[in-house]
Amino acid sequence: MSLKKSHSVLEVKDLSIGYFLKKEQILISKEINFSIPKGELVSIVGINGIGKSTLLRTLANMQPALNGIVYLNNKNVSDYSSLQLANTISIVLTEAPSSKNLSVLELITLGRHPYTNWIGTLSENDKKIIQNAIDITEIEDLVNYKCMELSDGQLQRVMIARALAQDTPLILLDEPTTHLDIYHRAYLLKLLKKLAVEKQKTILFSTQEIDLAIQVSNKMIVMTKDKVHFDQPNKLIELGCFNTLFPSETIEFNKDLKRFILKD
Amino acid sequence: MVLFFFINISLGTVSIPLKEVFSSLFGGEAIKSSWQFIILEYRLPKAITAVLVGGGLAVSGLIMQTLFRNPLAGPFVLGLSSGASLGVALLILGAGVFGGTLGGLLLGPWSLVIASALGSFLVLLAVLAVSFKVKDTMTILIIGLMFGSVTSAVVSVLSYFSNAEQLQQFVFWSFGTLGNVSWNGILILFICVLIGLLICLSSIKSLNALLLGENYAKSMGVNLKKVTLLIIVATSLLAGGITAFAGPIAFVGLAVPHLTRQYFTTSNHFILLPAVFLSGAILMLFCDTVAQLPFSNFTLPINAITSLFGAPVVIWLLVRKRKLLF
Repeated sequence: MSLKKSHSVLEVKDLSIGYFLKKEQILISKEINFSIPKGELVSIVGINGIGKSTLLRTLANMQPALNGIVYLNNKNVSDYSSLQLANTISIVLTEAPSSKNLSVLELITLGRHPYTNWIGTLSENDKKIIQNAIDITEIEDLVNYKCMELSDGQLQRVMIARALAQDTPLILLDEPTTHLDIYHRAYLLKLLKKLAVEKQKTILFSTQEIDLAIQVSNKMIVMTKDKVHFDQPNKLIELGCFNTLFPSETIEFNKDLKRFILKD
Repeated sequence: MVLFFFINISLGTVSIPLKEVFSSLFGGEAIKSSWQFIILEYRLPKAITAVLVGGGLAVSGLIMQTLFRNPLAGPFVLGLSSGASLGVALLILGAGVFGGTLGGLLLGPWSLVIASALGSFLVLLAVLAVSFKVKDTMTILIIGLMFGSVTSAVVSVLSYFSNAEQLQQFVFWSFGTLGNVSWNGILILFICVLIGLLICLSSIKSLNALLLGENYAKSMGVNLKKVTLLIIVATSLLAGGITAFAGPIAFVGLAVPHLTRQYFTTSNHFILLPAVFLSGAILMLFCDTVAQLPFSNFTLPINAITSLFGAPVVIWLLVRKRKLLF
């Protein structure tokens, strides 16, 4: 019987997201449906303010859904205890760590927080996982630096290493490519792809880099005002989804080039 | 710290030979029984108080700064000392209103302690009530400051209507003192500080996670509400208890965590917590030793000394390192 069950790590059904403001619901986006299997890299794109971060926060149970259910390994996310959730989802946010005085190694070690005892003793296994996270993100030479001494690209890799140290099947990243130059953006997306393929992590990230996301993602969530699409990138291109993303008078999506071009 | 502890005990208004200091401390008989009395009943309790006060205030400053992720936070930003001041002001300055015998009765040695403890406890309750309603720690910080201004305003009004003698008594209390704590008082203070420190110890891991920010801490399974509550309770026990016995001692809570961070260049609470306690205790012993003005008959207010010596050190460190480590 278990074979018949869906093998999705993350599945949402008829999800509505938004805020409560003075007991009044502010709806941001509705009728969101998708299902992501293990080891897939999925990107979320959409215009600023469409609700990409809100969607990620709702998935991570940092804010309640207005309607619909988020299933995490076939279990409602709101039924998870905070510790169970910490064992299942790790996050990389746009905000920098509030203490820049932490060393890189200390910061990555904090990722083991859900697993260690009350005083935070590291077992051999903890140390191995931390070292793996450092190796795969290629930050070995940074471990003794302080966060304030790092460039944006380096800090982003360190934050991803911390999420890896948390050793969760699902990783959510909110705009990991912001503030990075084109080389580091490409490097970072390739790193995410590598984690999905080699480590079988399920990775969901929001981004403004639509061109790069099309090349790297298994599937994409395209959020527009009227509808939230979910499919493989080339099918979304066929459908002409990307042309509904932005007001059409300024830029246009070229299906053959698979990228946006300026309109005259 | 042990060294400072003994230096502190050895020096005072009455000069006592070092050998006699040790013999009275370790159960022997001093040549003069008055010396032994001074050591055991005055200087030893004062030194212990200094350790508890300095260490406790410094630790409460550290955990406040981490919880609020604000380098300006300290034990008194929650309005605890203002609450204590209000309690004492109401007692001393309000005693005139009751007049005569009742006023005299109210001004017993314990009533000061009780009044200031009550004052800080009430402010704490108010802050706690607010912190249940407001989620944002920065807002709690500002509300604490507002409570502080309200209580200081009430204290000003009370001062305006009181006579010179009462005012002087209040001003002396606000100077802070380490010398007026009896052995019984020390026991109570010790229990307050011990429980406060134990709570801090149990929260070290969460405090470290908080260094990443609230959202990250939550995502790693930290129960934010519980930690906030625990830390506010610990601060109140530490700062509230200390203020009750030693008066509002400024500066230590704010500055010592910064000094320690600069010196150890880490933000890891496993290192910082004991280091901050020791540094606070040493600073307090040192300041108290200076305040006694060894070989003279004067004793300066401890509150003035902590700031007078501490502030330049912090400024010097910041200018030299050019950067505030946080």
